[in-house]
Amino acid sequence: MVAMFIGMCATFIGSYISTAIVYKDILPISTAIVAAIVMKINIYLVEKKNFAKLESFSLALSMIIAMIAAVLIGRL
Amino acid sequence: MDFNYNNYIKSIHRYGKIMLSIGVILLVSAPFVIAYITDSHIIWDGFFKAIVKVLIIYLPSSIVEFLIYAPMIGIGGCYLVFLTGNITNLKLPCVFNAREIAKTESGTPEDEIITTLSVATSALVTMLVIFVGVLLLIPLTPILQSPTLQPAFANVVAALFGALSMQYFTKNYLISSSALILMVVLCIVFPFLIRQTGTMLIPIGGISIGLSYFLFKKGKLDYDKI
Repeated sequence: MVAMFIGMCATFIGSYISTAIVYKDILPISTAIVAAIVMKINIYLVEKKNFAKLESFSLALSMIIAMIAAVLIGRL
Repeated sequence: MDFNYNNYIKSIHRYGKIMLSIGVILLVSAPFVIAYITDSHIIWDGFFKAIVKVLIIYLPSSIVEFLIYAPMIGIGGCYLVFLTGNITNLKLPCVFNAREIAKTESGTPEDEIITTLSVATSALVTMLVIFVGVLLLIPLTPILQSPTLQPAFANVVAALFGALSMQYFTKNYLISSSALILMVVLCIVFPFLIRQTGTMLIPIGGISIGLSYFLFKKGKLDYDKI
């Protein structure tokens, strides 16, 4: 089942990379990258720093920060 | 009282079928009730012509969606998700996240319960948010229509899958990179596929599963990571 989830994520991220290449629109992939970076930081804090309370909110936090980043990138 | 998983599954099927049937009857009867209340007349000839056009498009995609999503969502989740909708952008990410937090494995009784709870919670929260949103529609309209905030609302799914990808791509780099490269190449060659993510889930997901099965058979992938 992990493979199916990977396939699903690859489908969406692939479409954002293609949007950047074909239509020169970098906003979707930039948003996704920011979300991924924030998620990575969250995973680090949860696993290495034992910040367990963050685990339940890591997806929501990543999304909100990425959406704020989308607003800022959109203004550039 | 001891928990009996088989009885639980039987009850899920029984109540799921009853509730789903009630839900479908309510949904289908809505236009007829509205027509009755407003004293309108349904033009049956036009009705059947329209329904055939819709069925041609939605029937095959619904069958394919069922086959793709059912194994991921679980039995209890299926009864809820195929009635409430928003599978890709709400229910599935919720299932992903719940599964990651609870550390359950697909196909286990624990996973079945966790996925059902996550889908049910997602459906209830969605209803609540929509209800509050509709009540606050007038004061929220300037914010929702603000041009400054449009990039944020237009990229909710990108933010969602960016975060989820970090969780799942790191589980197997070979499968992730293969699926990603294939998707990018296909979309560059056929740009119309960029907007067809729902359809592209089938080949890309299928190839990911095929590749993981191949790696498992070669002894390069553990069973729990397939």
